[in-house]
Amino acid sequence: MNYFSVLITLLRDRKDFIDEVRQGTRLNSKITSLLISSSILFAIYGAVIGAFAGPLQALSSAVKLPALYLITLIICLPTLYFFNIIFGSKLTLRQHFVVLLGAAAIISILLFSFAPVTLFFLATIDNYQFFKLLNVIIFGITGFLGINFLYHGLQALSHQDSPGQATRTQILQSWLILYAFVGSQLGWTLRPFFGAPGQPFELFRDMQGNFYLNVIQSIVEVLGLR
Amino acid sequence: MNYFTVLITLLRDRENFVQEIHHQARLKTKITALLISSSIFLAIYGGIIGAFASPLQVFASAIKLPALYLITLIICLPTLYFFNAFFGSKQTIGQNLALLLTAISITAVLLFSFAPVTLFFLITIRNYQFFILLNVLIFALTGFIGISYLYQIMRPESEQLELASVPLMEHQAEHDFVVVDADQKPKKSHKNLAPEVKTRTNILRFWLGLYAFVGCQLAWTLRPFFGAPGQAFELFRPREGNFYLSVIQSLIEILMN
Repeated sequence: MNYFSVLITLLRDRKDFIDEVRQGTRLNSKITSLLISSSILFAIYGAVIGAFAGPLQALSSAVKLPALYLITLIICLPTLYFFNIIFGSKLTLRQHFVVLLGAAAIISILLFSFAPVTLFFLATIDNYQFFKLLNVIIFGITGFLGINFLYHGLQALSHQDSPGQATRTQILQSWLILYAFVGSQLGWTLRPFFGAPGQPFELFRDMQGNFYLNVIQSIVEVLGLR
Repeated sequence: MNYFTVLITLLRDRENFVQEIHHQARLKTKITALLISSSIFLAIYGGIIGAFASPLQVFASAIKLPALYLITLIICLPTLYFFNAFFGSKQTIGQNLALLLTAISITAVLLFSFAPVTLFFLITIRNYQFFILLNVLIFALTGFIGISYLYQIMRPESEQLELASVPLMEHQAEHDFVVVDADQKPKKSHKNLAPEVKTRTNILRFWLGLYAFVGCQLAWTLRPFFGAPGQAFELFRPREGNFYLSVIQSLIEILMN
């Protein structure tokens, strides 16, 4: 239960969390607890969305959802770190890692808070497109809040008025775009998370189409325009 | 009968009651009492609207109506709690639950107070459509009062004012004649509110939207509450689509023709 208390502290007092990261206090224990608790919460939400299709899908989504967030994070971490180092940041790799993990943890706990709502609509509405759109909205809101924390957290950390601050802000902004880009592509690659109705269980789908086109198609179908 | 004294305390002295919740005084007693008494009131009103169709429907509706309000509450509670915590609220989940139950209890008491009226029309006018319209009005009115009360007590300003025990008297004297308009009073008097407080007010609005969203769908799932005339008793109707789809579809039908 200690792991979750770190998570709630992070959620409530983000400023204190950032301060502790700046001073480098107990970074290792923070990494462990954030990693474990966010994986568990992601796995719970993954299981809920996978339950739409069946128990097998629930199991595979419970593994895939934590993997999605954490792999994206690890893929993009070196880019951010080295670019920041080049432009005069004094933060260590581990400090970067903790802040990124913190953002993922915030997303996980907010997703978890939507789990009852998702479960309810799963139980009452048997509509694949509606369920998918609902989840796009939920993932959108939670992702936005997590990224928001990441942005302000890293800004606050690098705020020792060293030269190159303006450049580092720009780096951070372009990095966020890279992060979203990698994340949505990875999300697309790891499909299916929901499992389309009437299809047998499959671990991964053939690669085809793209994320944004699919969202537009869902909207069109739900509104009954086609 | 201790439960009803808690409820009467709530009705008589709401400010004090909310303040006690903010200070976490006897939270568990309050939650239990509100839960039980609001369930009973809602069950009574549910029984009355079910009485339109048949005795079996009375039982079904008496269980369904409390379930509708309380399940919606439980489904939406975690979202509110975690989002508020994210934006700096210090409230525990128990306090959140107690505040939400307060609003539901007020709705329940108001519904209960309409019970004789509904019963009277049920006996004197045997018209299904009229009865439904009457109840739409009653549910809308009581729901609106409950929700606006919830909005007032859940706003972060109220939490901060209560905890800091800022002397409110001056403001009240200034705005003596707009007491009803409590919504705008603190906004005017605290212009330098932290941006987080504004965000939390927005979260509360967003959450009320979510609450309505879930509530509509749950009500759709739990149908029938009234039981249409000339139909045999059924516990639940076969699930046909969902609330929003049917609303959108009927809108499209109206617009297309």
